[in-house]
Amino acid sequence: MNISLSTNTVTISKSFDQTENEDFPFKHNLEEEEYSLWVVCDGAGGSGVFCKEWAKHIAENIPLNPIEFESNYKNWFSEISERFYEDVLSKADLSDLILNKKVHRDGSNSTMSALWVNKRKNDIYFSNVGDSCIFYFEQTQNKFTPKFITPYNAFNEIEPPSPTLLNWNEPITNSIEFGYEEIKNNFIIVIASDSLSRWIIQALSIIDYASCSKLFKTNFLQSLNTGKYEERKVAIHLNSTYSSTDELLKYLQKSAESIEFFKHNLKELIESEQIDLDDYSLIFIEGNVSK
Amino acid sequence: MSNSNLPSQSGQNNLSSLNAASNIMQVRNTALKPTHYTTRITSLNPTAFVLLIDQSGSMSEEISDNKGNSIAKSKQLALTVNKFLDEILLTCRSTDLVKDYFDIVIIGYGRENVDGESVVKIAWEGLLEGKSWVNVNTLRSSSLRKDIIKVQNPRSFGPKELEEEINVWIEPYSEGLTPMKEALEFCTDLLNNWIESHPNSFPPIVFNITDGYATDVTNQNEIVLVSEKLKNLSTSDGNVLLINCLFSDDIQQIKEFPFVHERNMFEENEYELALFESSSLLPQKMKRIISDIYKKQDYLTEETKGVVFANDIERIIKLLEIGTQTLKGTIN
Repeated sequence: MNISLSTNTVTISKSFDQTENEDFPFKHNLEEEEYSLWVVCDGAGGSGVFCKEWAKHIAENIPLNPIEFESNYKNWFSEISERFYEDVLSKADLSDLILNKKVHRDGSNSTMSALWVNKRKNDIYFSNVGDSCIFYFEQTQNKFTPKFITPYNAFNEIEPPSPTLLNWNEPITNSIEFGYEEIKNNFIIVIASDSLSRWIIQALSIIDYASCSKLFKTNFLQSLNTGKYEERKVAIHLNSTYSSTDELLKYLQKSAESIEFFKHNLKELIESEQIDLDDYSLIFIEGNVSK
Repeated sequence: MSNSNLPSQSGQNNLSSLNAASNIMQVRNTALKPTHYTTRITSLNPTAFVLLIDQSGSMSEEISDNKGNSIAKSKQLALTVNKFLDEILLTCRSTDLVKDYFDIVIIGYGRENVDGESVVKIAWEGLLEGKSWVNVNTLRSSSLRKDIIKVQNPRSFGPKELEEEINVWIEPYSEGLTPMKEALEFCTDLLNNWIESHPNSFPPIVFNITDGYATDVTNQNEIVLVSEKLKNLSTSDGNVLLINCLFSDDIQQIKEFPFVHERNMFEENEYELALFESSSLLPQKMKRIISDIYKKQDYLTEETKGVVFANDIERIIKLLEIGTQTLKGTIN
């Protein structure tokens, strides 16, 4: 069985330029290597400083081999934390003592969604910290259905109050999510930062509730019908140009093809109040399996 | 230790009128919508913090801190307020700049004017004297003084010692009576004007920190009624939040964020009951934070009042930090 991969990545800040963007999408995909790696790290500037730099540092330093990552992630994290301090923070201008205190007290926060594809053994591996999201859609009977949506499948609500984040200032004490899936059919993987992930989940819940009800907890599904999400659901329903998961995936694929499409589509979602104003990242990976 | 500014016993007649007022409030305060208190706070659309601080004569009395040291309540209060303002600076400091997420005003009540009258006035001093609302960048550059201290770096990497800056904006004062009603009315006027120019902001949060009962009322019920006017002010994102803190070691027991159904805990004390009734019901976002802090899931499901009766500074600081924690997830 051979896998051919086609992939696109786009990212844009909430102000629609790249200067303020705290998201950092990353890919390492060389045909001759066994593993390919895609990452979205979303720097969380609301509760730390140098988060944009930290997100980039994490993404660029994730091991290319997922087995190595899984067996040693605490040491890996400790090493990259110290290196970040030495390479970035110790060279930064911290003469403002308020900034200096914030660096040393609050540190820098980021999510991490990492996805590895083993092109020789037909496996995927994934790891998540925070509320960026990996969607895995499998094609069966000529249509795509969501097989897992991680880490939201473990959440009790669409907007968890304080998602765990990676901070160089705090060692990893608990285990982090790590998973594995054997590739059997054509697939599409979408990796998205938090606000865009929540929009995709809401859209998906409208067009394919049956699949969503199998993937998510009852509390989570209920949270899609409360507060702003209840109002947003109406807006998504009214403005949608897709009526099936395949059509939604085509919409996302088109969005990921160029930054101009991405901007255009996001502007529409923002204007119709379907999505929170945020930095946005989208990685779209299409895998075709030939047997 | 006595507290000359708190009544030792309460009158049943006054309690009756408080009960009547509270019935009206219970009807009005039920309009907490889940879509409220969700507006993103930005430099272009900031929110407001008001600190109402009691500077009356009784604040000169000493109170024990949690380490057993005695310190005047006015000093404790000034330390708390200055620490809170430092916390605001930290919250608003991004990598590149200080962001004006908040407009802040401090209103003092109790200090005497040249005629010996206890007055209500904006408590800024030094470079900020004469100003009302102050944004965070102005706050940053206008402290009365700053101390530099050295603290140990707990990490295995980086410098062994770190320098920290401690700012002072407010000095301790304690004189005169307690014109709390007038302070609440003054605050209502200030916020009314602020909201006119920020109609779509995250609703302002008012912290009233006091050690005693209002002396400019004939009945504590008047405090409930003026508070109601304040809480009825609203932006498109919800009503103004009023959070009261009674700072005293005369209280029977520590009472932090009581549930509405626990109202009978306060019925023995007219003054505590007035503060309980005056306080806002907390929105879900704030209840989540106190639920995490106090490890009590009931906060998520029960109606909870924004009131704390505390006898040590740590509790008051925690109360103020709940305000900044609530907003941290909302700043953009």
